[in-house]
Amino acid sequence: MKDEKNRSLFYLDELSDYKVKSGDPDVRGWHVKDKDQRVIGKVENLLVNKNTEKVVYLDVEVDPSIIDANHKPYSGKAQGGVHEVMNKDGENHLIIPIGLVNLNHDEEVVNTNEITHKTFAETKRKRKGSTIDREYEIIVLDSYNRNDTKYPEDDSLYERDEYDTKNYRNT
Amino acid sequence: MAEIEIEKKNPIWPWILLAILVIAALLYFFVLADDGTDDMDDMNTEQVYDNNAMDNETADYQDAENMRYVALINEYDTYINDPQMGLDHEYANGALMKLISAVDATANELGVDIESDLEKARKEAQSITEDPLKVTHANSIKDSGKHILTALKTIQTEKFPDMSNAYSEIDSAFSKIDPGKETLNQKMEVKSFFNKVSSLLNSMK
Repeated sequence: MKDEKNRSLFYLDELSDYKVKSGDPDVRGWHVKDKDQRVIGKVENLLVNKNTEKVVYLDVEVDPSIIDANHKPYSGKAQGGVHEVMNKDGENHLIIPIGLVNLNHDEEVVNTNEITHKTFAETKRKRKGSTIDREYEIIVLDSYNRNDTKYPEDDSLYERDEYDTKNYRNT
Repeated sequence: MAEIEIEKKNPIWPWILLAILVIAALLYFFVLADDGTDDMDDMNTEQVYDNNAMDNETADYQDAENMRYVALINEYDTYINDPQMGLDHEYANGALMKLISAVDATANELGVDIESDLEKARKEAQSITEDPLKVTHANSIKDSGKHILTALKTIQTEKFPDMSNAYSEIDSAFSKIDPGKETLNQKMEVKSFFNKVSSLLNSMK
């Protein structure tokens, strides 16, 4: 886990001298829909890699339906008996890797064509504005991918398809 | 396909600088406007000053007018006492003309109307230059001088009644000039007349 000094992931609003690049969509405020077009939340912030100056995750405030589903968070390691991760009260934000979404510019909607409402409901959540560390990143990736992938510890993680913007599709 | 990238915001300091410049420009404008008002004030002040100056100039002009007769009297004095001048007809003619001017200015200063007498004196004095024969004799002085004396008498009587003795001395000196003799042969009489007149005029300053 990187310490505060060496971290590369920042909420965009933490970086007062940065903004969304001119010409690129600022999706904050856009609704996020699952593969079944159900609204699962709204983009509240953007998590950016300051080194690459790219958005890496969308920080989503989840829809109450996600919380109300009251599913136990998925955790491959937890399943392996390492430790249990549970969503607590007030934890209503989750992150979505940018490569797993496509954007509907006309309707200003973020679509997640491969993730179901149930998957979102089973994803570990954080409180608003919580620091995003690698452990949480892995938990989230595990939840979305549901396989035994071993993710790299360094920034090569962001070279994976989950972060590859060629996966954007206009809908 | 869109990639969401971030970029550094444009530095805010140019905007701050621009804002400062705009504020400075506005301030300058208003200060300038104020200056303009001040200028107007200054102009007004200057106008007042100018008016004062004009008043002063007018006063100076008045003073100059007032002093004009003094200057002409002094000029006459200087002329008749100039050792370079010989007591010839030219001298007599010049002295008469300057005397007429001095008496005229003095009368104007004192508000005494002697213009008709002086006009006659001028005509007689001018005739000296037109008639070469006249210039050789003292009759030119007598013809012109009698009108000057009349004018002087008027001034003295109206404004300086206590100077009757001085006038009498002029009259006496004037009577000693013989119109039939050449001026050069009665230098003392002519000079005495001019000096007496000078004395009276200086007393009237």
